This record gives sequence, C-alpha cells and structure tokens, in this order.
Amino acid sequence: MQEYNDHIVSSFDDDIASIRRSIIKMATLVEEQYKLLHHIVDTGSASTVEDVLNNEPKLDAFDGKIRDQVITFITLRSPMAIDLREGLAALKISTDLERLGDYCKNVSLRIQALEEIPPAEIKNEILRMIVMVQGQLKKVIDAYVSKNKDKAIEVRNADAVIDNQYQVTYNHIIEDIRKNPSKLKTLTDTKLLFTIKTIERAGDHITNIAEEVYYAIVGETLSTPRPKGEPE
Amino acid sequence: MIKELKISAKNLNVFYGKKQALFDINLNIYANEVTSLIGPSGCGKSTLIKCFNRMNDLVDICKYSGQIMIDGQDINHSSTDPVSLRTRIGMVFQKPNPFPKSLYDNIAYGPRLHGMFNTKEDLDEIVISSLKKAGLFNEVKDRLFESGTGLSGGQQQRLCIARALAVNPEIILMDEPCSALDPIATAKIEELIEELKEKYTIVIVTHSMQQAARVSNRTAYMHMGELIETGLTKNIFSNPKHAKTQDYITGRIG
Repeated sequence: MQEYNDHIVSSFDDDIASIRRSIIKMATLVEEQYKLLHHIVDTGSASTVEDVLNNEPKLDAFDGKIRDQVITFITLRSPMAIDLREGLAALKISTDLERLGDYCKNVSLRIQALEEIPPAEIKNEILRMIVMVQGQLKKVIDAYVSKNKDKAIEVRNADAVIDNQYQVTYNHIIEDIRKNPSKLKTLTDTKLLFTIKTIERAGDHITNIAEEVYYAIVGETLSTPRPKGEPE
Repeated sequence: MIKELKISAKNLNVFYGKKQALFDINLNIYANEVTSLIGPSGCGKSTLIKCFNRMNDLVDICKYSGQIMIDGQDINHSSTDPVSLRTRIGMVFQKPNPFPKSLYDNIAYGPRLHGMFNTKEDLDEIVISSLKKAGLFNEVKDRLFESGTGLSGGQQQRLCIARALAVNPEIILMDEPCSALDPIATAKIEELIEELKEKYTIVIVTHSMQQAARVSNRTAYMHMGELIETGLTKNIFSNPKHAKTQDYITGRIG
C-alpha cells in the first residue's frame, strides 16, 4: 500500500477521511442488503423484503451526501493529483454502490412476486451467484479501505467467475422452460432469467468499483481488457 | 449557533481626496472566524481593512463617512485612542517586514512599548509563547538573538505574526500574507491561520481565490469599491447569488 505524508494543513486530511468514511458506511449498508437478499432467495421471507425496501432511502441519502462532500472538497481545497483522484473516485464509487443497492431491491421484489418456488437446483445456483457477489463486494471494500491495487485487480479478474455461473444458470433455466411448457412455469423461469441478469450486472458494478479504486491509487486505467466469461 | 459580531462596517464610504474608494459598505465580521476579502486589484479590499485599525488616519487626504464598530463601539469616535485600538488589532502585510533587530527584540517591541509586563521573565514568556503560537519557536529557539532579517520568507512572515500576537490582540488583519511565499510556506501559514482562529478573529485580503476557499469561513467579494456579495465561503464558491461574483470566481471578467 502506498503511504503518503500528512497534509501540512491537517483539516485537508480530515476532509478526505470524512469522504472515505461515507463511502465505507454506504458500502457496509450495501453488504447488509445483499445479506438480506440471500435470505429472501433462500426463505422467501416477506419481512426481509420490507427491510431491504426500508434501507433503500438510506442508500440514496448516502449518494447525495457523498456528492455534496466531494463538491465541497473540490471547491474549497482545489485538490491535485492523488487527492483529486480520491475525490472523483468517491463520486463514481457512490454511483456504483447506489446501483448495487437498486439491483438488490429489484431482485428482492422480483423474487417476492414469483408465482412458483423455483426448482431447488436453480435456487441454489442463484444463491451461489449471490454469495459470489457478496465475496466480491467484501474484497473490493477491503481493497478500497487498504488502498490495495493488487486486491482491486483480483476483484476485476474474478468477475469472470460470476459471468460463467450466470451462463450455467441461464442454460439451466432455458432447459427448464423447454422441459416444462406450462405457462406458469415459463412465466416464473422468465422472471428468473431477468433476476440472474441483474445479479450478473451487480458483479459488473463491483468490477467498476475495483477499476475506480485502482485508478485512484495508480492514476492510470488498467490497460488489459476486462476478463469476461463465456458469451451467451 | 449564534455567531458573535466582532467588527461591523455600516454605510462606510471612503475618499482619497476627491476619489471615492469605498461605496456604502455594510459588512459584518464574526468572532473566531476567518473572513476573506476577494476581488480584482483596486477594488478596495486593502482600503477596507485599513479602516478597521485606523491605518488610513496616516493618509492625510483620506476621508470617510459611516461607522466602523468593534464590539459595538464606534472606533472613530473621539473617545477611542487609536494607539490602544491598534494593540487590539494586529496586522500582517504582503511583504514580511521584520524589524532590523534580533528575533527576540522584534517580538518584545510591542510589549515594551505598551508596558505589558513586569519582569524580564514575564517578557521572556511573552516572546516564547508568541513564537510558539506562530509555529516558529522550534525552528528559531537557538537563535533568538540573531537578526530577524536572516530568516527565510516564510519564517519572516511567521515572525511578523508572532510579533502581532505578542500584544495580545483580538483581531488579526492579513493583507495578502502569502503572496511572497512558496507553496509549502503558504500551507504552513494556512495551517497556522486555522489554529489561530480558535482564539482570534481573522480578516484576510487575498488575490488567490483558492486561498480564500481553503482558509476562510466567510468570503466577501468586492468590485470597484462596492461590496457585491458576502456569505459562507462554501456557498460563494459553489453557488454564488450574484452574476458579478460568478463572473469573477469563474474567470469570466475580461
């Protein structure tokens, strides 16, 4: 991890620390949301869906607060180099976190509205995808907190695993539709297709965050293209 | 939180002979805050702060109308002694101006002049604590009896601040205190200003909008002798109300 001297004007460091604290709090709440999502997919708990919905406005509030903090920081400090990248990264990361929160809410509502309980195998694969997303989220938060660019690269590279799982589950759901042509089954499976797509997109947003963490530290965009899973 | 009003200019007009330099200025400066005055050259910022410590009295052709209140008292009233007023208000200028004396004597000058101590030990204490407050003591403690002019620019400026602090003022006026300093020396002065505002009220004239944004709680924008807009620094620089203010801070005035 790159270490820098403190700013001569100590309140400058305080401002940056405050922005970073807001990001970490927002990210922690997103982690909580995905934990709740796992429970919803596992048990179908309606009260847990309520909990997810109640947390949504808090995430929006964080997003607004971080935007205000960064604008004030840029206005009042005229930050350069690493400091400027730190501020801009926070802006982008809070947008990605807000999207992650939104996807979690969408999947929760979609699961709640399913006409039928999905077959066990497909349900377990969806849970597996969620666990992968949770793992990536935890790792990218670690990378941000510890300013570790190598961890950020690991997160980026591991997104392919989520893409592959998405592909596998996609194929299983299509197979399920073929085997069971009942309208209700088809309806449920179609909704599940959207669900796993949303979870796969959540993985992409975490990869965005990893790339932003990397850029903030190094000051350069990662040159190699993102590793992708097999195409659909 | 109610802020305490420290300095107040009311309907202030200032003339140099026939030329009017300030037009109907109404400005509040609050205690334990840093207020910055910004605006293009010649807008009257330095004229305004020199009204606060009556330095304009030293200019024969300078005349004024209106009032300046400090702690609710009119400073231009016949009952006010300008000399004791100026012990309550320290001033630091653009070009550091240490006296051609030792560091010790630079700081001791004001207290000696005003009889502010009893014993030699008292005076030593005043000198040391002023240097500490100005963040200079550690750098110069082994050469207090060397000349003040032998320091670097940034150190000289901190010496001037220590000198101002030695007479225990309530207000410190700074007229472009960092214009002659490099970025590191400037940052050290800005960190010092942040610490000083806990105890003192600070008014800083600056050409640098970035500096005003960094150090001040409130900012007043002046243009051709008029006060165009004043407000919290954060608001002035992110969303000013007046088109002229926005033009200036975004560099749109030709």
